[in-house]
Amino acid sequence: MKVKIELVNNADEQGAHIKTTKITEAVKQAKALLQDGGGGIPVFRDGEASVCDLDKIYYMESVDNKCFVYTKSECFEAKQRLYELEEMLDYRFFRCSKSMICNVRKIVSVKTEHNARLSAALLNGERITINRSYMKELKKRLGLT
Amino acid sequence: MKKWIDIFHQTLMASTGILFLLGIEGGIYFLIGNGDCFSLAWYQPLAILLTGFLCSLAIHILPFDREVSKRAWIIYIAVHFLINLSIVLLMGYLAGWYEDCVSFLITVSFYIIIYAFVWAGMIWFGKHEERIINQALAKMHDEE
Repeated sequence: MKVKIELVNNADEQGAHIKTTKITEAVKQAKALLQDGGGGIPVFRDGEASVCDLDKIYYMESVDNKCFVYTKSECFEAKQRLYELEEMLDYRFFRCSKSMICNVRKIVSVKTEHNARLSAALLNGERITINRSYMKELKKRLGLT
Repeated sequence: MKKWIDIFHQTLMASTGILFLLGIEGGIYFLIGNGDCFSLAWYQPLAILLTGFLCSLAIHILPFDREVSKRAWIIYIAVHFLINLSIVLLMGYLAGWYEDCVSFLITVSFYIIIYAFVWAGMIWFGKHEERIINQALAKMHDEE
């Protein structure tokens, strides 16, 4: 599909018009992304509530029945369970282990470890582990399957 | 279901390895002019498949999805190697793959070659997959 971007001066002039022969999953995702600007999830830190943009989330982890949301340099707590958060996320996120969900856009590269798991280097320099049984999910997000 | 698909793939890989070496053995017999001496009893293909299946079950002792140190991983591999060797020797005894010391050593050597071949294949496949994933990630990841 050809994509054309035109810069405008006024916010009221902003809009997107998608011409397609078929409403595919990618078209639905593009529409959702344009409409809500990527979305966000409610998070808490020091008792203060806020919304964390999905664009900023690197990964989410469940530790001792608590869910934590990690951005480039910050950590927030989410009240939902990991499986509930998973339902609120879009195509950029995938389950990389039983207790972790990762944003594929924040992974720079992967490296195979000695026990066939993948170690993923993130944009902020952190490393996370992708379990072998979730490799299919990663490949799906990358359009490799 | 995925576990059974993995077991099926492992069974095929191990059985193919055994058949590959049997093919080489047959080829050697042919080249030295004793091609007619090489034959397989009716139960041998079944014995090969059963050996492949039993060996594939043993792979589940390996902690693929757990955090283990490199040293612990080497110990796991050694245990896996010995379990599989025991399976091959037991099946070899029942199916008559060895009758004397020389054929016993040939069976053990074949096992070591297949074991190394399967791991080399898995490592190669893992590296290949890593390269493909990294190429896809390079086009997709955000810029900070």
